[in-house]
Amino acid sequence: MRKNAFDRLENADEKELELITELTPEFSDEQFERILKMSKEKRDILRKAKESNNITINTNEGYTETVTGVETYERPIWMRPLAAAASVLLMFGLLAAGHSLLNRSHQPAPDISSPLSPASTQTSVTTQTSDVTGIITKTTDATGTATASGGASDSDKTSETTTQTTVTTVSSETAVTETAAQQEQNNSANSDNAGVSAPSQSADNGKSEEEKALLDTALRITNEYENIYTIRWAWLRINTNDRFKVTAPGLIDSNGNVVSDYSYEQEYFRVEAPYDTAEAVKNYMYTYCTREFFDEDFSDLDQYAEKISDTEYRLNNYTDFMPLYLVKNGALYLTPGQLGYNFAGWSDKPLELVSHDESRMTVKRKYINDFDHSDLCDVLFDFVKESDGNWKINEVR
Amino acid sequence: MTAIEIKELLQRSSDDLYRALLKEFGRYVYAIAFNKLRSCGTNEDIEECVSDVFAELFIAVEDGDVRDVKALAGTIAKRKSIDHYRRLSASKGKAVSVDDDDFRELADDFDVEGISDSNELRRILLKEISSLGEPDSTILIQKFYYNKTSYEIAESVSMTASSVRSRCSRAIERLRTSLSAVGFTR
Repeated sequence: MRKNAFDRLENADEKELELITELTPEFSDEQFERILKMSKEKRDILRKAKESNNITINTNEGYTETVTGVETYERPIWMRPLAAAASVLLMFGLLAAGHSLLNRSHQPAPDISSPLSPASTQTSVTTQTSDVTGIITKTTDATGTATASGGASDSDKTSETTTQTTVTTVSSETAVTETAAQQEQNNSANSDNAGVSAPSQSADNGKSEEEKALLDTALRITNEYENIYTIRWAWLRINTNDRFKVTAPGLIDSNGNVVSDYSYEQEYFRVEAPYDTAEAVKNYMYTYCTREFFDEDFSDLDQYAEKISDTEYRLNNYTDFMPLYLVKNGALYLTPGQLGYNFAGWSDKPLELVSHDESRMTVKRKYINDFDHSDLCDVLFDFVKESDGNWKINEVR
Repeated sequence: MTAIEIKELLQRSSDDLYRALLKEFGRYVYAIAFNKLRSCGTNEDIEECVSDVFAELFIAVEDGDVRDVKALAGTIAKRKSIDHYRRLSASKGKAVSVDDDDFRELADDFDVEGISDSNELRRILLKEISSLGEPDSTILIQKFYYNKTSYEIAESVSMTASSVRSRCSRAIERLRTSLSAVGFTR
């Protein structure tokens, strides 16, 4: 099972178990009913066994079991001739079947036609890259391998590079077509991939072509999602002199009480490149995420918080979730470290296709936790296929 | 749960009694089973163990004059967990036969000092996790000990998954700081 610092909680003593019990989640309704059903079934079996073997329980003596009595078995008298008759019948039946098979083996063999021709498969990969303006571009192919091409001054801020990769596989018996559209924007200063592990291809393990294609799509998009949601100073040009903080003075706990001594603040920094307006970042994000998903991470500062000073704002409503992006006076600001799940990079373990149909899929991907660097933490991505045929992230959990 | 309450429930219906026992002691039994089987069993194995415990508990409560149901549940749970642990460990090849040629060369792995250190570290870790307060301590235990997803945790603590992730991130930082302060670096 898992290996992390919390393994140390194993083999706890009674007092520690009491504490852990308080932090243990309640059973879900489904889990409760499942365990109850299993317990009742086992209870019924135990009850029958105990009654037939005269086992008694004395709980006042520390739960001991005593076994008394001997089980007697008496075979009915008519069983012997019946068993003998059944044996004779079985013997004759086997002889008759053997005779029948021997007779069949002397008949001529049927005419066998020529075998089916194997399916022919054609695979073609075409890649088109249109370079609107030049900055260093990273292109990721179907397997997620990153290559760098091109180059330009990093003072050019109006760049956008579009790369489309099409993979077509055709066989004589089945046709599976995958089309993946991919757009990337990158800064030039550093092509550092820290936080993005070497992308791993899904294990074949009997998966259909369709499933493999879905996993490839999920791999590309989740790689890009990580680019967006970790602080990639090298990828985004941030102006650290243009900043403000948002304070949450207190939080609501699950019972609706204000936890006044739990205040925190987030700092936001001006984003200058490769996009510096709300419209620009949304246009980019909407290529990977649905609007419903991304808009949760985006807010107008004036509507979100009360101004205390030019550099300090206070939340209007109690919450403990601050959006990734805030717009202040038309300019875009970002808060770093808002990933929320201690992301230190993707694991190289293969992705898992949890469920899928024509327009939805759920994929599980493992990431490295930066608390103890284990790679056994999961993130679930829910994708939807939009009307343009592209898969987008609709939920992360 | 007192003996009188048990009697009343039993008179009402067995099913009511079973449900009440599972509701009252389910988390406690699950915590014991999980604590023992976490390293060698799946979630299904742990639920299997929990249902074994409750099967015996139901019989014991129906048949005997049980004074302390919780203590009884705990005792059965610990015993069953050990049984399951041995069975699961044996099937994973952790058990060695006394007839094996290498048996005599097996070193005694009972490390008194190591166990003492481990106990101390466990106490410190649990203390620092508890000191974070709610809901952070619950979120951390559910995330890293019980391996729940943010979505599952969100449902249990009445938050959104995004909030859980944010809280988790900040709570881990606070935990890391407090553990470093007491010399717990790993």
